[in-house]
Amino acid sequence: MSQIAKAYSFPLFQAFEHVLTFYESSQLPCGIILAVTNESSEEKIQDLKMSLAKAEGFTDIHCFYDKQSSILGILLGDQMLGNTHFHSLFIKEQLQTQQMLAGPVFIASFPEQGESAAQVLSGMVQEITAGKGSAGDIHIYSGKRSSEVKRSLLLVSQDETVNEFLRIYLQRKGYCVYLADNGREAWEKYKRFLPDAVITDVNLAIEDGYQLISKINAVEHGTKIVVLTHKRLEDDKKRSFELGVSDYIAKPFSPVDLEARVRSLLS
Amino acid sequence: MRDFLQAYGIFAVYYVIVIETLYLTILSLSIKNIFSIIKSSMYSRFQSLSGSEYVPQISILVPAYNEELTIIENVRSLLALDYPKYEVVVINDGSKDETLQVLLQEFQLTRTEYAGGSRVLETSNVRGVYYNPQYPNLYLIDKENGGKADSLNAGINLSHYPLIASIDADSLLEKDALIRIAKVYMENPEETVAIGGIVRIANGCEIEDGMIKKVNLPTKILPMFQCVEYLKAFLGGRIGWSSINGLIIVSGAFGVFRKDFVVKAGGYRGGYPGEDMNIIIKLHKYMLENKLPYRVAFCPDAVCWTQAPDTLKILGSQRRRWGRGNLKNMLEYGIYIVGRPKYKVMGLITFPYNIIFETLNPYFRFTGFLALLGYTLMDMTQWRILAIYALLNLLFGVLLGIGSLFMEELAFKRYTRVRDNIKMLAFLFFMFLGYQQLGVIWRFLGHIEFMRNNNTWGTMTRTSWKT
Repeated sequence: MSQIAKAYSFPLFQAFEHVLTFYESSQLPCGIILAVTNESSEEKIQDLKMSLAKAEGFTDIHCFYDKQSSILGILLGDQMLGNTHFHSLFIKEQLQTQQMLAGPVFIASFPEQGESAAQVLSGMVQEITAGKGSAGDIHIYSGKRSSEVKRSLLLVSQDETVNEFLRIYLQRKGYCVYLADNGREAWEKYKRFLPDAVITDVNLAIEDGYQLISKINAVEHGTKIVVLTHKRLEDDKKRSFELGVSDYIAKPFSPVDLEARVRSLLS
Repeated sequence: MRDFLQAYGIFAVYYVIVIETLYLTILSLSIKNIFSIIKSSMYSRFQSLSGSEYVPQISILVPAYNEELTIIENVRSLLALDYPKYEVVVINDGSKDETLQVLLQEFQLTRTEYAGGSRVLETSNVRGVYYNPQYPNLYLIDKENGGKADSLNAGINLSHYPLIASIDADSLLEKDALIRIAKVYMENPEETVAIGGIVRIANGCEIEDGMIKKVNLPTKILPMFQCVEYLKAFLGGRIGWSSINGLIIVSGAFGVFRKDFVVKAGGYRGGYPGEDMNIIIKLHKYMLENKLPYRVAFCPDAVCWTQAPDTLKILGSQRRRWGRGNLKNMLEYGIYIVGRPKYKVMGLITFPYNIIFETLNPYFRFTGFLALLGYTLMDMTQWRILAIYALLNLLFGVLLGIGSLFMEELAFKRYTRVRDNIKMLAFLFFMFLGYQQLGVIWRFLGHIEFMRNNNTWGTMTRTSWKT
């Protein structure tokens, strides 16, 4: 809490307090971009704001430049991390053409990366003032999870689209995701990475899901196994649970549901 | 003599015109149907169907004779199909190589006495059934050599499910092939007795672990000819025939059948090749004689990839075998069926068509060509008629090919590159400069073999899928 208290006295935070409390209370997402820059005038910042509004077509932008620490802060209303990252590319380019950029750029979004906006902001300020990150690079603030160990998942499915979609989704939820598209590859990746959980289809090439599950169970690493499959037959469910899987999700599935189940399994 | 040659030559010209016009009619029927096929495959949801408990269960029968090189990959790929409930029954037909041993070793199968099934058809002696609870959907029958039909009958005896699928051991099914066929079946389960899938040439494709990873055209010339030939036959021909319920063959490489009717029609016939056409004829005959409503359907989006012979010797033996099988079926059933209104489309259209234009094709076409050649040699001023004959063959053939290629690109788009399409067009044209004539000669030789009572299956060699 002392860090947050410190952040409260920070000029950047004081300038943003109003806006951040608004977003927090209305539960809207908000993208945060911090950049270390050279001396900057009010005009230049206004220019940047204008060009952003013009190029990206949104109005909900708040900028503040803290002379003391030479940090430029930008808040982008209603933007998730992905969009924030996208806009940060534009901002970085603008700053570079105006030769303002003097250090790294940090980006984050809340509530995606922490329930409290103050926490996210103070964490970012901390990292940026501690001299982390190299100049001219965009760093995604890793949030409070940086202190925790990332949970790892192994996704096994013959359907590449589903694999790719879930990989992106689960990575953004903070998991470390490995992929495999057949039973043998899955087993090899499992042995190498020993993930915390395996999400697998039962219908796999070379070695089927059941064989994979029995092999994983024999390792006794405490891996949780979730079956995600098209098969909705009682037989398949029965056989899966007999092999000791933790959950059985039939497609079509909801990624939110899947993530929630995996999260509760791993907590 | 000259007059006779001329008259016969002119007859041959008309014959060609009639046959090609009929082909075109069939092709236009196909094209008419392709649009509804496109729609139905676009809007139906195979994915969710592939896990549903309402989909009928299928027994896949895989007769294997000397298949030690490819059998493991094929069985593995069959075990990973997207289908709710099915079993794979491999029938080792007294192979002389290690087919049985590699299967036993790979899947750790052990002999079992409790495999179920019921012995409804006569087969040669079954030496044993093998099973492993680790692979609950896999059965292996080891039996004494009796031919492909006999193996299929043995598979039917063991099978536990109401539908059977016959698949060649040298073919690979696409993951969703079975569920697509099942969809066609479920549209009208009461009346559908057989459904065929499309067979495509796998030579040249990238295959990994029994799955097609990348579709390419064959690199060698003979498989390339067969590739466009199959496209013409399946897309241009069978879609059209199925729309008037006149399909006379469901490819032995991949077809699905109602088991009860196959058994009632007497099962597969051994002793001669052409058992795939034979079973369809018998199904037609059975259903029509018992006045049961039925249909033999074709599902062009269910794909089976097969290895095409790439040497003249093996291709020749395959085509002679087809010639023999075709002649046998036509002689055996033709006399009962041709021209009888009782047999509806079969008796009035399909059978006469097949006898006059498929079975007798080599005689008319080839002798017609010889007659015209002789006539032209006698009187060089009449060369035009020979040119007309050749051009007719070429133009119609290319037109048919282009129609089929058009359907391929419209509905299935397996070959996406422009280069591939140009290559296929070129081969459609080159087909008529030697390849097609070879086919005619092989068929003719097949007929001669039949007359001399040669019933052997001929050689088929396999190469491993691994390249």
